[in-house]
Amino acid sequence: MAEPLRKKKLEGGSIYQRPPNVEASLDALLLLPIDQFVQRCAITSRGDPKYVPSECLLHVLRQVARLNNGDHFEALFGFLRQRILKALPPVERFAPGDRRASESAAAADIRDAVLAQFDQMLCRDRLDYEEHLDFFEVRFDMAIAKARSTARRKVKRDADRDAPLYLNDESNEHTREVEAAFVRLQSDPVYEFEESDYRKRLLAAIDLLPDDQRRVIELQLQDIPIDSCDPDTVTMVKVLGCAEKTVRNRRDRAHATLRKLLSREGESR
Amino acid sequence: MIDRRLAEDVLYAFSVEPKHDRQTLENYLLRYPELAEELIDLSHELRLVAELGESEVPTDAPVTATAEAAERRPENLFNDFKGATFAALANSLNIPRSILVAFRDRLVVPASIPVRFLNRLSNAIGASVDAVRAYLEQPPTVAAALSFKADQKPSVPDQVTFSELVRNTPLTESQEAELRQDLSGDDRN
Repeated sequence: MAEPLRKKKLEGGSIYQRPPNVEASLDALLLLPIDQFVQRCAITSRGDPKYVPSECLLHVLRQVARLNNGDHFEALFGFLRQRILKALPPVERFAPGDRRASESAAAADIRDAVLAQFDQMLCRDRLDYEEHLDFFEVRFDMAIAKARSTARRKVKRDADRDAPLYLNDESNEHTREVEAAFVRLQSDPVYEFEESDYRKRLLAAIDLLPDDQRRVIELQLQDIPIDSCDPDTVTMVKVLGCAEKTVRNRRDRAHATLRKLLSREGESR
Repeated sequence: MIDRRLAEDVLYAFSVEPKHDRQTLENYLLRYPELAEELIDLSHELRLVAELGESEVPTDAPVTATAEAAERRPENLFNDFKGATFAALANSLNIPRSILVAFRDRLVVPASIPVRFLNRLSNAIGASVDAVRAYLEQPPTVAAALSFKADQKPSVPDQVTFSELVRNTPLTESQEAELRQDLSGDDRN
């Protein structure tokens, strides 16, 4: 059995455990000679039965690093780097229209920041034990999403993406139309095929919104109400700490921008 | 002010939760109101990962890995048809874009496709009938079946037959006539 993790949960204080499928893969993989393990890490297709899950790759990398096994460390570190890059969401593939150069530059900065953060954690882990790496042995892709989210805040790309996407025409009709699109996304089977494509473009467009508008949309997608008379209900007004009118304005602006981005995309097709 | 180390713990803990639904988000927002913005931003990032999946090719992967991947994956016939050219292709075939999307994502049972349509499609794309057939016989694109608010990992979608697809898609009169002609020359369905 693989060495247990050490990170304790915030609630209750029990120790994090790897999911059963990760433990099972680790049990099998740890029986392999290290050379063979390294070879299998070169497989990049998740569908391949010999594919090594990133959680397992990281576990062995941490062990190898502590043993100071330079050659294998280099190889495994290279593979892990590729996995990190692959796990960063490929928003560009679905982004409507063309993203400006500043967008790509910000994306590159975010990528570099994630990689640097990961390097630091591995260094600390080699010297002592970096408990945050335990999260990556539980759900690698999601922990990478956390690293990316933090990096993105640091890179602060708001300033240069705010204005050009802004739409002045904010009629209610636009809002209703995009709202209807949200609903249709989930309910109408007739549009199933086109929707899957549309949905990804919608998500990519949401990613382009200014922070304050994107947050309102994320809360809307989570079904969190704008306001409520019930003091115990989680609402956008409470969470975002602003007036109901402000929330509505942000939502309407976001819907108008999304509609514009997506219809511009439609026209060009 | 919440300690930065604790904030990191909270955000990582949220990221590895088995579900990222309303209830999970609400629990964290109630417990850590100081981290509201960061939690909402993270919720969005997690959605991107869950919905858009991973990049097909790592941005700065070594050339060998990219070449290997290219070798394994047969050519995507729709690579040259994006945006306006994709719409033009659908127009030239006299079919709605949604039907063409279903073909691109390989959601149609290959054996159910009438020969007349297959010929029309290969001519329009500029590929051989065999190449189009080989493309359509690969597994469907997983991403095509993602639900916008999926709680579970998306699975490979079920394919539909050509006639089902035609039946379930709103068509103009001329599109319907064209597709009916495709279907009538063939007894596959």
